[in-house]
Amino acid sequence: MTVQEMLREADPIRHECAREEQRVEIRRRVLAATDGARARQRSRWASSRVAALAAAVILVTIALLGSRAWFGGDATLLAAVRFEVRLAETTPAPGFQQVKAGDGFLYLHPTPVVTNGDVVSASVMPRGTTYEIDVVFTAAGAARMRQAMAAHLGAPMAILIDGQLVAAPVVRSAIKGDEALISGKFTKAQAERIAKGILIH
Amino acid sequence: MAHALAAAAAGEPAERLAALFDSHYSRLYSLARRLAGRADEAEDLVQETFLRAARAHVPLGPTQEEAWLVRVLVNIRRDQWRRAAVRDRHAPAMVSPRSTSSGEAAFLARSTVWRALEALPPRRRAVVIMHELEELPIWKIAALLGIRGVTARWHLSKGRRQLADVLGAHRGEGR
Repeated sequence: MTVQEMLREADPIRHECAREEQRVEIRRRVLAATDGARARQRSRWASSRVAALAAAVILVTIALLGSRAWFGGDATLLAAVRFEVRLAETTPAPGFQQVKAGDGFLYLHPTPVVTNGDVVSASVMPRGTTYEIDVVFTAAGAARMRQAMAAHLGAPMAILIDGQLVAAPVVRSAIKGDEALISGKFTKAQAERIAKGILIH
Repeated sequence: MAHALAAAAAGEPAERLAALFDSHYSRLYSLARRLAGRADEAEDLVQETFLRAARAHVPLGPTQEEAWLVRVLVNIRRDQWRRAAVRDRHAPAMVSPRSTSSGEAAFLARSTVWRALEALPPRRRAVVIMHELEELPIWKIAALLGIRGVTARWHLSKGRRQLADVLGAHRGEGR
């Protein structure tokens, strides 16, 4: 018997009756939790709907664990209005903006890869004791991210909120299909501030 | 389902969450039941996933919604698994089934297989479940979990080997 056959034989779904009462109860509890919690998001959902349904999207996960490329910056993110992702270098070059990054400096490319207008949605997700931000880009934004990251392997990519560097993860891999992984490090509060800042067009 | 989601997308948060729940509950419960040890644990897992959906932005569109929910569910399970791993570090090792009753033996055999699966880290376990039981292709699993295809394939390969080692050893004991 193969492992797959053993798993199928042992699958609890096969040996369990439907638990319809529990499903109804869970549904009731979940819906009770929505009172007021999402009212503020209504206009956001409506405005992003058309773009979300029409665009071929890319999912960029800003993961949070174990990166040394996080430079903090939580003090000025509350009123964030401008989101940018720029390629960055560790050595200066003409026309590149110098920004403080930890104990050293990074040098930002003059043109951003994506900005707020390229974002369809941003959401905060837990990951262990830290938090992730899922950013969904428009088709055009996704294509530019793919192209930029593929040509920038091993080098940092700067994430800026309101002009301030909030994270500078190193690009670890070229995007395949519509997926990319960017590593950073955020608390819940930081992640929520950044997600909100990203969504302000 | 697409119609329900589209209609709810422009509606009240409660309506959208209701549509989200109705569209994805069965799929999430199946995954949760296969990830968790018991039915009530699976229900708690699904409930917590939707409660987080109630508090966060969930990307629109059936595929993005499913991926968001699946990743939150697996992440919650990972947190539980890590806490349990610390708590159970000194727990007794798995006891091999010893039974003369065929019904009981079948139950214990299933338990053994499932406990072998439980020994896998949750993300690896999710990959194995999605591939072996839900029969999803690697690219789809990778998209749902937000990992690269090569990572999903590595988890599947490693998971299969771990299961084969444990279950093979168990079969050997029974001879």
